[in-house]
Amino acid sequence: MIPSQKFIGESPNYEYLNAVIRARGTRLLGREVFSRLASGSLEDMELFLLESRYGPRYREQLATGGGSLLGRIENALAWGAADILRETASLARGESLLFFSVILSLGDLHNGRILLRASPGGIRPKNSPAWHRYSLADLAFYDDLWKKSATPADGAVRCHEENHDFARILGESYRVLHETGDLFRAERALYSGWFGWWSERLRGRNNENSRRIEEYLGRLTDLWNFSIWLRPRKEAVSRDQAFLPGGWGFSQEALESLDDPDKLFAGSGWSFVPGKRGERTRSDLFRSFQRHFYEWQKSLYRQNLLGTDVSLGYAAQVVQEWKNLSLLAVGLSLKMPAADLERHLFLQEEGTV
Amino acid sequence: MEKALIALAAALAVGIPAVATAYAQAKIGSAGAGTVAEKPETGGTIIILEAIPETMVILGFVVAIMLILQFA
Repeated sequence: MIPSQKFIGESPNYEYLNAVIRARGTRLLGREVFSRLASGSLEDMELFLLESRYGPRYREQLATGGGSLLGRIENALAWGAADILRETASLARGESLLFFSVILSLGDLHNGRILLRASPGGIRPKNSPAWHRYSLADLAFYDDLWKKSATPADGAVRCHEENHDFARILGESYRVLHETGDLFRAERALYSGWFGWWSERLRGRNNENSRRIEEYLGRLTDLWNFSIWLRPRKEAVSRDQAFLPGGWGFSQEALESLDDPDKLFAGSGWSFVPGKRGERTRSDLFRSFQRHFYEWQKSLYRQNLLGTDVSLGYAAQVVQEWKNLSLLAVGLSLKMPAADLERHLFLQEEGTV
Repeated sequence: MEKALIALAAALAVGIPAVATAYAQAKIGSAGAGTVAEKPETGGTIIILEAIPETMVILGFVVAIMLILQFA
């Protein structure tokens, strides 16, 4: 686990951290690398990974044997991305470490959702899923939950054994799932607990960086609220109760009363142009909005060079690189044509980062 | 009394830029250490960047000398 408490009291070292990040940022893979990989084979990708910064983790996968070529690549990528983020976080001190922990903690949120979604049926693959390995909570905790907690009640009890705040939040979500059988409510409890926990930890801080982190959390809340807003109106009762407070751009009132995405986004602060409802499917609309959110986060990389913006922008790029490489590996294993594969990738426009 | 004021002015002319220089060099030095650790080839550039704020205190020193020579 990242020693999030150990150095929190020190003064922040944004200058040092951001200089390191900006220097490391030049190692992020460019569009041309993805194009080249897309037109190759999975074996070519394997060779590429051996020479890249994912190399040590890939060699580790080779040494431990087991698994298919695709499985090894996916594992190496997940570990590699987590190494990059955790190693960067280990350089941060004071406030910059606290704010970097928010980014890492997003991994806990993703892992929690994976566990909740796998929980109701009680049937799950033996092997653990692709965890977001940069999470603050120990991976052994998630593995243990995956292997030993088949029901939400098991999960809730196991979480209460753990001495970690996120385990408490996840345990509460398991309890909701156990009592209501409603996955949606359980996920809401998870999000709400996570946002509440971070709001509590960030309380009392009032500077440019804390406002940026609050904006980041608010925009994440908007992302959740928009996913709920896209649900059909017939689910209105549960839908309106599901909106989380504390969003950045969407007011509670607008979310509850508006039906047209154009109207929802107008004046919200988001520069996203959704188009009329019905012109695109709900999942298309949500994916575009999610991309827009990532674009915003990446754009921070070049903003305040003496603040937390650089960390936020860099983390978005590292996670996106991991997602793109994983997608490439899956596409190549299915022998997809390069053009189709590239269409699915989420690539930055040249020169914008 | 007049001499004391001139001395104070000269001290401020050096002291204030010195504090500002220290602040700037601390920030640049910290960022420079991070950059050089990742990219050793940037060492020369970082030394130049680290030296630039020094001009403030040198100018302050020149002003202080001029104050003393002109009025003391």
